[in-house]
Amino acid sequence: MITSHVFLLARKILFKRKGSVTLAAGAVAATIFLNIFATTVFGGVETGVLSDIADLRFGDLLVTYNRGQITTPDYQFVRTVASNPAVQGVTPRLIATSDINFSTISGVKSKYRVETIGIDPVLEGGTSKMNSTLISGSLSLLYQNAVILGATVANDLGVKRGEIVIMKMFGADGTAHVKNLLVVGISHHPGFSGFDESAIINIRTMRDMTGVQKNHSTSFVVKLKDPNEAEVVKGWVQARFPKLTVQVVAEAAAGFKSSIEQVVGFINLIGYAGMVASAMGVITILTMMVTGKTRDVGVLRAIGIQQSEILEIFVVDGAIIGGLGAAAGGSAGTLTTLYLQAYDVPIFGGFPLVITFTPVVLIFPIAIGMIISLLASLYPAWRASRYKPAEAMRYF
Amino acid sequence: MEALCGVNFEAKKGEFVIIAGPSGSGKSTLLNLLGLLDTPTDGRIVIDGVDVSTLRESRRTRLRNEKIGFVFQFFNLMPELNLIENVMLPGLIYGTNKEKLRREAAELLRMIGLDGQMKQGGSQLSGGQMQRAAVARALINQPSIVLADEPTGNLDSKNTEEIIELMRKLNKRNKQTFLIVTHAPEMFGQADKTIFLKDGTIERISS
Repeated sequence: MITSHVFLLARKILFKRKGSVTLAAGAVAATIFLNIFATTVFGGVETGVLSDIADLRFGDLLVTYNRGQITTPDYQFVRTVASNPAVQGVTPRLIATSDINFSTISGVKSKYRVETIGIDPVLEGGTSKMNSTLISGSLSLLYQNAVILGATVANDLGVKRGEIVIMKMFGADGTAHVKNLLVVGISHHPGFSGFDESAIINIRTMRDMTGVQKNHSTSFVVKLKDPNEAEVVKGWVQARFPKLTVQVVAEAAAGFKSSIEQVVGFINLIGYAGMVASAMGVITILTMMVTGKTRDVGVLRAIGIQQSEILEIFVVDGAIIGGLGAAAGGSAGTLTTLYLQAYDVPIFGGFPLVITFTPVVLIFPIAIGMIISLLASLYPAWRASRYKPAEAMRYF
Repeated sequence: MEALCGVNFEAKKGEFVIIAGPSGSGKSTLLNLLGLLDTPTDGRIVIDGVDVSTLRESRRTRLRNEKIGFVFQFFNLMPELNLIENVMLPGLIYGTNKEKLRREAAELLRMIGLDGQMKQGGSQLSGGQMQRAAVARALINQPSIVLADEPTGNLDSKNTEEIIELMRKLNKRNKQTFLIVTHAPEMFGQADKTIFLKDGTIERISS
């Protein structure tokens, strides 16, 4: 139990040194802010990118076959899965690489090993948000000799909508298939999961060029009405197609998730280094304070304050610094998070963060900040409590 | 080397005792021992019939708070506290009710003529005012002994006179034992007993 005179002295001694207190509390605040920021913002990046991946690349469920081409015909798979009331849409996809040439009067420009996605333009519309990535043209892939180029690919080739490119693709038997394709759209999407580096063609065109059997594909993308149902529907699909691999988006995007986690880990590492630095700051400032108060500590001991109470005074100072740092860092973290949540601040060239603020994220960083400040105050406080009154009063 | 040797004297309740002697004679060491700020390597210090030389540190600290009031040469008010808080501090440490303490501190400050400066910090006061406040702080717990180490050593002659008069007045009124280390000859005339130290021993005691 902290007595009133201990608290009075702790408070008065501390706030006489506003600059030092601001510095120490600022260091604690920065650490707490960084931790909240890393947790919420990078968590938001992860959620946002996974949601984006679900919308464009993998759906809420991605179904593949470890031997390549899925043996179940597309219509049969689509009909079965679409019968589940939780499913919003199902679409087949083929993915391969192609070389794309574009002839101009100044010569031929080439782009090699371009990721090429074959889609069913009818089913795709109800399943993914691919058409929302178009900045030019429409999703007119009903026309089989058409292609939508990613913005980067189009830019590298110098191609505009309405021009013809030559696409070369190799079939499973190694035979090269070449087609002239009309560029019907340019696709651009901020973030990581768009098709800026890809080309999108009709799945039938792609089957012709790769030799994949008619009405068959290598993957299915399943979009759900409620993504929270993913695990349940996954089990349901898996039960009906036990040979296929069914993954929820987090599994399908495991590589990406792991990369984000590494980034968050690295940022947190900086945060932990910041915690050590702020602890050193608190130790330094309290040590300076204790040294500056040597004589007064001697006087306090002379007029009857106990050693344990001297210890308490400087530990309370550490706690106040921690509390101020926690309040400032927590507030800054909360306000930044709420701002990002309210205003959909875009990053990575327009990619919207998906940030949800929950007060729970404050608990860990604030607790750590407080604990660090308290621990950091222990040594200076202990040193002050060891002063012998007669010696301390001789100190100038 | 022994700072004090064979020092043996008694101060009765209500006595005004001056400890005098040249620099290095052991005056401050004696005061530190009497104030329980240092521990003697040998010998006994008895306060109110209790041998305090062998007590544990926490008990000695408690005794300092309850039974001893200190007045220092450099006043040693806490710069972070205002005047009334400084005077209240030993009482707060003792655990006296805060409101009662505030009234008593205000009364003491009024008595020494500082009631108009209660909310002022130490740096806004003159040396004489600070030393009077330090005397008030020493008396707030109504200790049986007041120890003063060169209380006028940092004051001009006018303030020296005022402090001497104040301490003597309080000593007569409260019947508290005052032990004062001083070089100021003005004080000798006020003393009930003067102990002259030289080279760590009592040279003479005059009454």
